[in-house]
Amino acid sequence: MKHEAMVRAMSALDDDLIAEALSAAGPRKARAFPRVLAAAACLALIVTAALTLTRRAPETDILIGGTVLTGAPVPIDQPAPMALAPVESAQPLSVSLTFDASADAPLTAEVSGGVLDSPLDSAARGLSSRTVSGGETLTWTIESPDEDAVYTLCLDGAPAAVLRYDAASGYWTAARA
Amino acid sequence: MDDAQIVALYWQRDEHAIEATAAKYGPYCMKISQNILSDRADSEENVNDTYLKAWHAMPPQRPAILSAFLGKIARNLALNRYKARNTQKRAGGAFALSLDELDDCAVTLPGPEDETAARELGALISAFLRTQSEEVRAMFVLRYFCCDSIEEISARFGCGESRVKTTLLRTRRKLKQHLVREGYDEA
Repeated sequence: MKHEAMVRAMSALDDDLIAEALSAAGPRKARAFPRVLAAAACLALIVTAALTLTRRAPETDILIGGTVLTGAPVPIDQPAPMALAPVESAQPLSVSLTFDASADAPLTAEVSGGVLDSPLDSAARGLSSRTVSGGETLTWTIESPDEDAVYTLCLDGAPAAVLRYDAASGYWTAARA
Repeated sequence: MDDAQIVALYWQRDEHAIEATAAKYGPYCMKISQNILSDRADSEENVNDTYLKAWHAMPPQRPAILSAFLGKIARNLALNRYKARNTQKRAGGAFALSLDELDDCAVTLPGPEDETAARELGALISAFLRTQSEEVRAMFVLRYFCCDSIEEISARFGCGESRVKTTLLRTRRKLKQHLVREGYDEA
């Protein structure tokens, strides 16, 4: 038989190899555990991402003068004077934004242009980024607004509101991003 | 009782050594015997012969790893029984299947019955196995030393039978190459 020598030789294996096989080769249920762990981790990630996305800007209402900002543009200042009194230079644009009190965690508000001021901040300092809590009001001021530009406010990095000039009506408008 | 104490009993010629061996290693010796012989009565007889041979071997021997020492005795005795039982016909069964697998890496010895040559080949196989991963080594030893079935090994490692078969096939092929490189002729 071809295998005769091999069969006999297997009886001459080193003792430690035999002992190792007998002890090391137990049921390896641990292999299944990481799979379960990995699946649980993926599920946790998905749930966390979903919760985070739903908690962020889309559910944080932004109010202007008591009106909740929606996708429909809301005029936020008076129309520019007509031809008899042309605007010589761009006037500062200022808008007060109140963030929905239901926002249970502080948010980071950041603007692409201009500064944010808070009445709670005793030292007047214009910052382009502030931490804001639910119910808090920030004043967004753009000293020299460019009518061709679109200014964006982001909450926790996600665009939440935009300011843009409506040439047809002559108003600066605000809307949800 | 730990192995050193059992070996000490053998050296003291204390017959409790057999009881202690049976208590600790009886099922293990029985499993190897059963894997090869596939017969309960033959296997029980083989296990008793294993104890007797161990009794005669210690002293003078003082095995460092008693499990391997007893496993080798049980295996060799079972192989002899198997060979005697199946000289007239080709045997079937799980063990015969594992023997057929070993054809993949079979080499020729100066004389198959030469124990020295078998020990040298065993040393070469051991050296080869040390170059493999622990899992591969364990699968190979369980299959070709303990004669465990593929199903048992796959259950033990928590993997599919096909993975065990593939691992063993690759290992046999690599072993064959290793042995040929070491100067053995292909059988």
